[in-house]
Amino acid sequence: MNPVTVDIKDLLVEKSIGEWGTIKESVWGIFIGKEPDNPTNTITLYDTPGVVGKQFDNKRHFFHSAFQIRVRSIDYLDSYAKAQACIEALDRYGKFQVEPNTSYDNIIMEDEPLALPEDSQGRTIFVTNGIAYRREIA
Amino acid sequence: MEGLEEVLGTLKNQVRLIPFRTLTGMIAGGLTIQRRAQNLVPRDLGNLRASAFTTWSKGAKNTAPSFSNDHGDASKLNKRHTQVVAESKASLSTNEILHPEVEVGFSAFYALFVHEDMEAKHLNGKQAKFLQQAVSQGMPDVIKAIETETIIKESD
Repeated sequence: MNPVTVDIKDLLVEKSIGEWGTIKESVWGIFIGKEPDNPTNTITLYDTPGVVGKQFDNKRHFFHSAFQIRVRSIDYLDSYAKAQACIEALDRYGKFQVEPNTSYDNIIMEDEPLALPEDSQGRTIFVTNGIAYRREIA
Repeated sequence: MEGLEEVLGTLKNQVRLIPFRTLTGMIAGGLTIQRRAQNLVPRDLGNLRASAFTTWSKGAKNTAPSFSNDHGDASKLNKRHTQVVAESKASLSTNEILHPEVEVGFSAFYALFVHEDMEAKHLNGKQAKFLQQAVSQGMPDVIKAIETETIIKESD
């Protein structure tokens, strides 16, 4: 089973929200675990504390895997709009499977974008949190 | 059967008390979460750590914390703590039997920013998402606390 951020990243790329790991300034770069200094426009995903849910078929568990999306840009409204686009792309996504062994029941985005203080270069930052309901399949 | 009535009477009393004890167990569980979160909170002056609280509709723990005034914030933090705890209590169900509710939180005005900033650097053992982590890891303790309170005790 992947960290949930890896699968979320793939969904965002598929929905053309951004490009994975790019340093091009012309597009939004998507990163996992560490927000790089460049490019300016970034979407960074973090695995956050989730919950191992109840067991099924006597050996495997449901997982409530939590994640955070952090969006950074010079422009306040651009950051907000991109955070909102991430929410719209993911919220109530529904069922899907990821190779080799993960089944997602749904993704729920929990909150509206929250503005954090600007970074040292005056760039605006918004964060939003979500939970993926998933389980391992045989 | 001899003694059966007495046993049934005791059992009936015990069952009647279970809903009341559920809230007691939830308060104990909430305090466990609060302590876990306080251990994970990034520390500067200790004001964020001190601003933790656990509330239920008719009560609260840590209603008058002691805040450091090194940044001149003590008065602001005290005022806000009183307000946040009062608002928290007012938001919780007053039906402690059918809908027992307990809330754990931090009243410091910057708590949310510290909690949500995954890029901030902290000392070892301290972290963002301190409350979320405490809930994630502490759920078995909460369940155990509720079970402990609601178990039927021979001595009662």
